[in-house]
Amino acid sequence: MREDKTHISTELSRELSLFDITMMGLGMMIGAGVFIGIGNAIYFAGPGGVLLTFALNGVIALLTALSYAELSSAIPRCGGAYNFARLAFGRGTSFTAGWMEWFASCVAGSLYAVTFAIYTVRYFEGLGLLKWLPFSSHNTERIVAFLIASFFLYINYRGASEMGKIGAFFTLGQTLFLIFIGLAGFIVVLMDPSRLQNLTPYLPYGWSKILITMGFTYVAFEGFEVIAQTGDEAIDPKRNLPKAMLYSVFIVTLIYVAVAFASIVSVKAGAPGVVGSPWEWIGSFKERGFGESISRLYLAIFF
Amino acid sequence: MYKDVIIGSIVVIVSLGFITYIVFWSRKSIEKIKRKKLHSAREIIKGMNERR
Repeated sequence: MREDKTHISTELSRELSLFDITMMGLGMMIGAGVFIGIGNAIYFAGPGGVLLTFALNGVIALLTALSYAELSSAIPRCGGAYNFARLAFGRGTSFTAGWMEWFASCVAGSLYAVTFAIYTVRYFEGLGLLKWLPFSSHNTERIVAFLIASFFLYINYRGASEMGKIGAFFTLGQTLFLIFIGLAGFIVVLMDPSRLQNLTPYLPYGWSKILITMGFTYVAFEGFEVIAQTGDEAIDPKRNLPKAMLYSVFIVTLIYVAVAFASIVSVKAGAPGVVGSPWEWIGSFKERGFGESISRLYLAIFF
Repeated sequence: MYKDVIIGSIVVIVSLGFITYIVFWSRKSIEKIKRKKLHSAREIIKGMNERR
């Protein structure tokens, strides 16, 4: 009887495996948040503050993910948070919840596209490949952001299966890249332990600043909720949805802490162009701090 | 100064340890919940108490 009540009728095909939906969650989380968050967090909270920020945000995200995991296991249907609100509070509340979630996704998607454009345009400008363009840097960034957003809109339009597979490909590349950076940070410290001095002063502005940095970097942990929306397309959703949510939060937290650590130790105190202490230098670039510090990591390993 | 380094490092390690523990503990729980076909939080708690 119970089975009949919870039987799920679906018109969508169940093609997304645990790997696909975990990658989907990771893909939604890894992106602009960590790239623009590291430099800003170092600027506001110092070198130790950025590590604490990502570790504590990971705990908060995990507790949220546990709630989502239970709900998505009990109600494994497409719609995610909208569906949970509809069953608990009715149509009126779920209407608001659905639109709020849609709006949050739009804002997050725009942020990701713009950040991708900023980093891409800066990279190609650094190589001197964009001199022939008749647009200013700002307009070029806008065009790239529009193109990348349109590309992913098209893939989404084609269906979750295509998005899952292409998204998994992009996410795997992004994840491996960040794992490499995290490992490289530890290798650099093993080669030159004096770089651990970059972590002092650990919290130059005190513990209270961590609350501010936790607030604006939490966007880097948003995205695992998307997994709940694949309830009708995931294979064995009662088992795979909660697992994928917890795995994705676990993986990103470890990656973020490792990458933040690598960003701090990548800059050598007194190196040419580094003004002040390394953490102050990284923080001075704010949203571009991650890119600037990682370019130094490359130099530290290969030269 | 060094007090911040020590306390901060402990907080980071404990946070990461907590996350790791919860994820591995949840993995087992998810399998049990699916196997026993439990649906609501009340049923899950009841199922866990019965096991004890």
